[in-house]
Amino acid sequence: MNAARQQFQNPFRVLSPEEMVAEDVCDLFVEPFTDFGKITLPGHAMLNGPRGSGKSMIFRYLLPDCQKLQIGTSYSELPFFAFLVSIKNAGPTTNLTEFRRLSEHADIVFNEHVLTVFIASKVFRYMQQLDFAISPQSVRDSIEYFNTVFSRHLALCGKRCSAPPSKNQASPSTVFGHIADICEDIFAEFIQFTKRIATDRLPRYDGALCGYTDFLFPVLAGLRELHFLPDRPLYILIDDADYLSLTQTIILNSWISSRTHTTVSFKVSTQLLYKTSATISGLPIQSPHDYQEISIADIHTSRYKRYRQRIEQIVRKRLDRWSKDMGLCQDLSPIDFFPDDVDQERRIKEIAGSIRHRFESSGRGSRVSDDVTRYSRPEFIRSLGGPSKSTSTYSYAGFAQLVHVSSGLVRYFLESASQMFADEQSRLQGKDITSIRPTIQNEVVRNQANQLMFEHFDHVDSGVDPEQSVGLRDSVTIDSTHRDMQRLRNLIMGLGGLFFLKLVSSDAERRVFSVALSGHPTPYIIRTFELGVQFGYFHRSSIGNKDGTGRTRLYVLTRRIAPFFSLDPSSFAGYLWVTSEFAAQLIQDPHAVLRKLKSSGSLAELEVDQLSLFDDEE
Amino acid sequence: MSVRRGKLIDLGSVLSDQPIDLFVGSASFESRCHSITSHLGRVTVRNAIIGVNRTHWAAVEDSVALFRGRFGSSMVELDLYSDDPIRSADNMDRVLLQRISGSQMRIVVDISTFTRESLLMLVFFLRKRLKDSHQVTFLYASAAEYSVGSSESDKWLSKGIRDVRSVLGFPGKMYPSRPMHLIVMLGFEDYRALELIHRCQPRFVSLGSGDYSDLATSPHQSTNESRLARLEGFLHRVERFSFSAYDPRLTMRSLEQQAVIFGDSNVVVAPMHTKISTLGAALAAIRDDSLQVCYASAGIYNVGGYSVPGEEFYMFELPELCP
Repeated sequence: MNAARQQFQNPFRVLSPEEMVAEDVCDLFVEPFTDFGKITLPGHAMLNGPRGSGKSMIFRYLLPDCQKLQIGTSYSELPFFAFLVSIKNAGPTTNLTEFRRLSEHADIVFNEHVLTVFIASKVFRYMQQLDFAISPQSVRDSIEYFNTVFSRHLALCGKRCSAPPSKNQASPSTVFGHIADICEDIFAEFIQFTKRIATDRLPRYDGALCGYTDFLFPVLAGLRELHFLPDRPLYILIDDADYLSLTQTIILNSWISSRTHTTVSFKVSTQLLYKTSATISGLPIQSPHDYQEISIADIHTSRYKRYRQRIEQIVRKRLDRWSKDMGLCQDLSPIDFFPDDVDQERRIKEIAGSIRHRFESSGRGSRVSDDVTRYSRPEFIRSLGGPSKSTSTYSYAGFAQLVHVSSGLVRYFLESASQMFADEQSRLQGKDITSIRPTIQNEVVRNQANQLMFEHFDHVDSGVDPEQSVGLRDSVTIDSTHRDMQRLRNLIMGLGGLFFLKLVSSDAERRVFSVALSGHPTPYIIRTFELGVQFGYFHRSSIGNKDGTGRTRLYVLTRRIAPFFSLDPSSFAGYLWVTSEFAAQLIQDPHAVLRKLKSSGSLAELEVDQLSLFDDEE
Repeated sequence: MSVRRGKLIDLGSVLSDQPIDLFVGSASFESRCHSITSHLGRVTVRNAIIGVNRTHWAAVEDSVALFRGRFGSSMVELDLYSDDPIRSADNMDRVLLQRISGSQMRIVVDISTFTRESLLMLVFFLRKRLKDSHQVTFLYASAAEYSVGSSESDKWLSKGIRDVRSVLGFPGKMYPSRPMHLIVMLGFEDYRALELIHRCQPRFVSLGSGDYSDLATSPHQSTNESRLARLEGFLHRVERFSFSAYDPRLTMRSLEQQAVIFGDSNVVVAPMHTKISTLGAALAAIRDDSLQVCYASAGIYNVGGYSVPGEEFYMFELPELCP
């Protein structure tokens, strides 16, 4: 079996975009949003989204090999030329523990040198790998670039370098390989210096010191003079910039604040944990003044139809590719591949029929279809919770539900689907797969929801956070992180339980998945919700406040957790207004609050509104 | 010299009556930290350096008091900080400089309960201070059981990862454009290993397990195998290998072989198994300074049931640290 076939044995396997060949990227890429084109325009940009939202795939797609294939042109005709610099797997290289010692020395200067040489190494190694044509002119151009641009600027930074290969032996690839080697040697030289600072606080450094304005920018700008590259903007795609150290983040921000974007633009992706907007001068960078901000999470979580269409396209492309690679003659549709639980859907349809039938006499909405959407699935879940107490038998199978459960993140859908596919494959033992049986779909998403609750929180009762274990044996002082996690768990347990109570109640609006904070929430309540955002339990948005005088925070619980609480994952529409006091009670003792709400029958008193934000809900 | 394994009750007689000029150990929430000192018998200890994790003060407070009672004024406390390796390193360098002279010395290092990062830094600074006139013996007290009270499949020592960092003194030779090859020396903590792999996003992964021919490792074979299989299920392109958990030189050799299998790459070793095999990782990185050793600081420790002291010790010398 060839490599491609092996790769697509499981069509939903999540591959690192960096390792994918251009043909596969172009085959599988689906534009994530309609205004995707904005990121391809010159100018600095920050692409923010949680892990798995497709940022790395977007960056991979912007690289010249993909763009060349996609547009069907040569490198020199591309509208921009991009280089990828991934920070996530660069930690051991760019962020050695010894670097912390630099804070006692010229922290900014040394870190800028590290970042500059790191990026230059990546750029030139990538240039080496591109298939530039070998011609007398390309060889002449490359050597001239080396002598008049690279070598000259490096000398100004304190480093003389060896000559490039002679014209007879040279090609663009060998020249850029030589430049990459020089950059790596400079980097290695600096690492040797850091070894000395492990034990010697004031060692002498005699090596090169390269910065953005005196080295990286002119060296990059010089590339545009090469005839086999376009005289167009160059993009440096910094992936997962959250992993830069604080000092390196400040340095990158300072580069962004410099007005070089018509020649060199930085497109920076973050996982919402970017350390600071500060620059060396102390002034922060701001959007839209210094850069354009794009939030992938907002785009996906607030527009379900668009997200579902995207997932459908992605799944279809993957199934087509898999079918082709495996030599199967199957036209598989995503909806057929992930079928509903037929029996469950039949029973829900029966309930829908009954709601239609009663609408004239006891309808609550203005349209019969509204009541059917609003009440048929909750009624079914409620019926499971009757005497049989079997809400846990509710099935989350079916393409539409799985899209909802993935909660706006493509990676979550694919990871679940990959697991389902593997399970189905092991049960079929070699037979062709035409669909994933509903029981497997349901098992996988339920297991993942359980893991999501247990993985992060099971240590809360049994372990001790080592960083601040001040109150290990007593209850006088519990460390803040440990306490924060306890609070977050309580908040999620409280909200999940509350949303379930609403779902199985007789209230007019039962499908609630979000809370809006009214009044002035205390800092620790905000902190608890924000911790949840950081861990992916909540998505943060905003909504007009009750007075109509401004906006307030809205937190949407991840629908990945819906199976844990037996919630209807399609419940976008409703949100509860929550006061600071009520949130504090949930954080303190969620079970007591839920017991009280159940026994007092005061659930209906909690104020529910509808989100116009999610107006494209099905 | 090979690794000697014996019963702790025999340790005093194995160690001869010659006084120990310097004893180096670490206080811990594990009562195992006293296994060696409480079995020294009649051997006199002239000076002691005891590692004290100030970040976890409440967890080690009682243990420090016991050491103070044992050594009195001959003991110096080495302040260590889980969240500040530079500060820990400076203290280590200073204390070792104070206590290790150029003349002949008998030094005993109890590695049982140092954190892996502290142990690796200790090796780095010992190597800086030791001379061939020093006779250094390393001791390791075994645990009878880990994750006390948990079933084999649920055993855990720590959970989560707060921070992944290179260990000071072992930065390796990293080349920006080379892919990363992460060598994980897996113990009980498969989810932590997975998190480490997710954080580092290496191009290549080597997953190592303790060699089951080691008597002390074989009881955990089925658990380790199922953990490895579970991890493999989440990853693709993984190479498996085994290493000795109880002989640092054998560990070193396994790591040296494993380090080259993917060709030119930035090799990062993550020791997550025994302290002895952690020393093996240090030896490998000393012999081949292109290897980086990294440390994944834990989110939480299983303080309540980390381990129960065993009845055995391991003893060996590492002349490579005394150039």
